[in-house]
Amino acid sequence: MSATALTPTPVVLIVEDNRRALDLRLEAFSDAGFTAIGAQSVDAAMREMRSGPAVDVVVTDIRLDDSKPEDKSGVDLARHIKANYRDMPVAGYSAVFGDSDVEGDRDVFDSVWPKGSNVIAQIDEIIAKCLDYALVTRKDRHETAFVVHDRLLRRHEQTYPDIELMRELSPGGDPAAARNDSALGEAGYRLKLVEAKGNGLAQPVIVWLLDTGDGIDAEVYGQPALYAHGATDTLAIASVVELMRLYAAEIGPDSMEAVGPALSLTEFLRDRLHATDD
Amino acid sequence: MSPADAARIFAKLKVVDKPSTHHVTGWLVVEGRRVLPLHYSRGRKDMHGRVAHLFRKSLHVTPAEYADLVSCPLSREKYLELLRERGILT
Repeated sequence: MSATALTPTPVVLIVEDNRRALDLRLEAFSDAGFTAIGAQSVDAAMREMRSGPAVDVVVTDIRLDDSKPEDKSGVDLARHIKANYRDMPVAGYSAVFGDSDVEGDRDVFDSVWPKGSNVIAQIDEIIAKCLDYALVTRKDRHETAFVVHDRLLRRHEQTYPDIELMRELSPGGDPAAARNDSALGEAGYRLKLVEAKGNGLAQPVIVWLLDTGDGIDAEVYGQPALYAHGATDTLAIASVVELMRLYAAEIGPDSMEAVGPALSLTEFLRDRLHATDD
Repeated sequence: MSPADAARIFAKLKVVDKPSTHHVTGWLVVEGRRVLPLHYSRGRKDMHGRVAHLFRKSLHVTPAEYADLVSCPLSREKYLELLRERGILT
């Protein structure tokens, strides 16, 4: 995992029901260097949050339905985002609601520009504030990702995706010295984290993926016996997870003693497929 | 290298296997103890990608020894001897 692999520009999600107003804001944020995504409703905004690139900051109009004078669905959106995306900064603005109208809703926003703020005139100020928010979000996200990644790597210090390849990468040198992720990355291997949720696992699993020209080889990090081939990343990973289940089905409290690689796999499967106190 | 070759190796090494829809998983069992997890995928065609290479690695043998396993000269007893030499089997 490297910083360069991540989206290089901050991502802002702008929620505004008025198409023309939305376009103006998208253009202003894009000109300021953001990757700007637009949504015209709460539902569309939540779809973007779930499926788009990692959003770093959300900017929303407070009234998202002009047909309802008292509509404050932008506040509802902000509450929903705060409840589901911890630490996601949300900025609000309104050309309808004044300071006193939004007083009770300020807690859900990191910043609010109410009626009278003249959003367009203050767009530079809003963008600067959002950039600050976005950079903090991005930094926190990177740090969290690296902490999780490092923790997983520490749990599985040894990995043998291809001993012969590692020896080729360090001719005449210590094979162990080549046993590192960057060398394998240069050789075309990619590390991928398989989330526990959605895959029926108790804990996430890291796999090495290699494009072999006729599909993808997947090897579980630290478990050379767990490998499979598939036409795509998804199919190769699904096949590896299926293998884990097949092996695990044969491991029970009364199963025969395991030694060496069989013991390593047995312990790994118990750890990954069954909840632990960890 | 085809799944049929892998099946022959399983038979020769007396791997305790359990076929399923797509995979045949098994364990090399020695004196009542599981030693190595081994598997191959079902199918008629040769193994895809580097799967044949990974299968050989899971057996802990060199390419030459692997060829002997496939073509017969290397017996289960001699194979177990190799594993003992390599510290896999004690």
